[in-house]
Amino acid sequence: MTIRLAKKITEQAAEWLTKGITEGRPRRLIKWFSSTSSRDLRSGLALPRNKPSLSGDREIKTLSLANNICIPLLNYQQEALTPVVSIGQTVRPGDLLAPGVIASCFGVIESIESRAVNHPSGINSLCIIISPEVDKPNEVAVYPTQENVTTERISACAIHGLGGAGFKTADKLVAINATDHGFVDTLVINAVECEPLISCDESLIANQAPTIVTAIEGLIDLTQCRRCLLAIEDDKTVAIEQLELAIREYAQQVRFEVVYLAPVYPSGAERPLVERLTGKQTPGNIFPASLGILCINVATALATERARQGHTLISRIVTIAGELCDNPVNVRVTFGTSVYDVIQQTGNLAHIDAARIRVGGPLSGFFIQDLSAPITATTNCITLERSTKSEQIHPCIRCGACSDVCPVDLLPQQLNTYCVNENTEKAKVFRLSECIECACCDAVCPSNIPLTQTFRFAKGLIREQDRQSLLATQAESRYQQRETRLADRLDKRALKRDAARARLATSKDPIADALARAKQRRKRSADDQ
Amino acid sequence: MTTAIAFVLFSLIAAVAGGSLAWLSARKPKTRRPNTAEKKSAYGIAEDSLDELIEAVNEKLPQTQCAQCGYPGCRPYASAIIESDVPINQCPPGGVALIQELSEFLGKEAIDPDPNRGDKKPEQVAIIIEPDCIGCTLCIAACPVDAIVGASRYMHTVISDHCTGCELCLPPCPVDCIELIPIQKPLTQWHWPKPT
Repeated sequence: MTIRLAKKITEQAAEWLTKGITEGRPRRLIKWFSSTSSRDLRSGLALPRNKPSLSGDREIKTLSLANNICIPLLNYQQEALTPVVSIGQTVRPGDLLAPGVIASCFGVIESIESRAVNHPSGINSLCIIISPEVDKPNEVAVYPTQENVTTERISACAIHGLGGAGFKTADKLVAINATDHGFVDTLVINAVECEPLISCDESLIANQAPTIVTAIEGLIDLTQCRRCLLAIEDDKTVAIEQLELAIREYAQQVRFEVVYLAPVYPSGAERPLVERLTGKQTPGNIFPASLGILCINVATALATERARQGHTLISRIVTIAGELCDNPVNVRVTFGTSVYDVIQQTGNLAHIDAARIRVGGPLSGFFIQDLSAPITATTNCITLERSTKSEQIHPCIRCGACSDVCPVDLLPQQLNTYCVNENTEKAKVFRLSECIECACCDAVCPSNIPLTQTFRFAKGLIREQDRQSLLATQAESRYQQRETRLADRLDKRALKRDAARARLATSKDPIADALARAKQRRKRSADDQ
Repeated sequence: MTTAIAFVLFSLIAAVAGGSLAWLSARKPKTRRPNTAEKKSAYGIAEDSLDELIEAVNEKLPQTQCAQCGYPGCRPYASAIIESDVPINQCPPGGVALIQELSEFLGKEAIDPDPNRGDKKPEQVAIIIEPDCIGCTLCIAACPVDAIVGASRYMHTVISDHCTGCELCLPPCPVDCIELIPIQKPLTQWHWPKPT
């Protein structure tokens, strides 16, 4: 005990000396005395294992192509893209439709029009509608097989993160080398999948463990990382069994370490996961990438291996589950298939009228109204939920349960007060931007306060305020420039007028002078001609 | 003997505690002083500096440059508020929120917006119906933020990213080919509604 304490104190002192004490985060003195290792998340929710879609057949079926494939012209930041194809054009899987967006099947471009997309706003967005050739299998190799996968290939195959945010993987690989850290220290393969109901990654590992092992080895070669960790929750028994078998049967000694984590939500989120694996907290503007930590989802890793073999990313595994889902299952869905088609083809149409459809998990997902919205790289789960009456919201009783459970050490009840009152300055001080919207605080709140929803609103409000103030600054500077320009023009005109007046005042015979000037002018113009 | 040891020990502890207390209390003002200085500068205003005050008020104004307040732009109105004690309710684009903010900032009473100045409108931008434009350049001269491009006897167009929706281009147009349309917000600018 004493030795450990002494060690801790010297370590802490060394850290303070190197980093300075003024980082502004409360240090948990009590943590020194506790025996918790870094592998335990201090907070979060230990939710019961609830993965009904894994109970049936382990094989993953591929859904047949729908009549319409709808590809939104949006990038992962929801920015509108300009199409590079035209109506009537024939496309193959992997053909570029817009920067970073590829076609997912053989077919003809039917139209480019505004359609519903998977977005909480329910606002329609411009999409490319492809009428597919149903009988042609779309899983074809577009490029020749490579020895080792390259970043260019990953970019060409349009590999996007299949976990949550859907970042372009190639951008991520380039960006980490451009940070201050400069190289990949730790490569984290994220197979945690901590949210209830979602089991697409788990079923993927259970089915394709050998390819995943090859894929991770390929990524180790590509990133030249110092070490690689595969994080997985220890209750995924079938997946772990298959994974261990694949590791044993792999031709060489594998170069990555499998880390088994006790199932706690939301340890699959990047920052909590990094903290749990490395003990390093990443507050505010410090991103895991700037510490040399690169997190890649296990399905994305597999997609890079498929990219090496020449396959573009045109489909993903989607979990269908929820209270009103008769046949919970994991299926492979081609991008652009509508949510309705997925529900129909998996045989879950029975309660569609009574259900609210949520895209994403029960905690972090959002409801959609229009079921014609297409599946994209980030659609990991579709849940059919019973529409329940929203429960009565009571005032905050300051029980502090939300602060205990917050995985990023925020004070949700304090933040909520500021966010409701739209006090954005204070909300910034209480680190609103660090909220990962995991909804743990909602789950434990005894007063049913919609905390996450309020934080999402306040984050948007801050973004909007920043945008407005930027626009105002620009308008102001343009106005100032115009004012200066107009004043300059007036000044010049006044100078000219004054000069003319001065000439007039000094002249003895102004009329004769004027006549002489006119004559001179006439002569000059005659010479020019 | 034990008593002596205890006495020495306790006096030692007392000395250490006293010494550290003295050290802490000596430290305190040092850490406090910059804080108070910061607080003052956070408000940004030294009492006697009028320009800074005008600058601060100008920063709060919406910068639409619409001249609905009766002054040629936002900065002139800011100067008028500070220098000539003009009422703070003359800015329709700022609306009630601006009046609230200014009343708190300047310590003036929060009055209702002046109805004679116009209503607060939703965010809008001007567009030129291009087939109708005769290229007279009158709107270009009227735009306070240089958001219209074009030349004499050539078609004009509005740079919508720069347009503040001030409506100042409407009266000079001889063919009424300018319209104001509500801003179509892209998905990137959407944000979650406030929970009720």
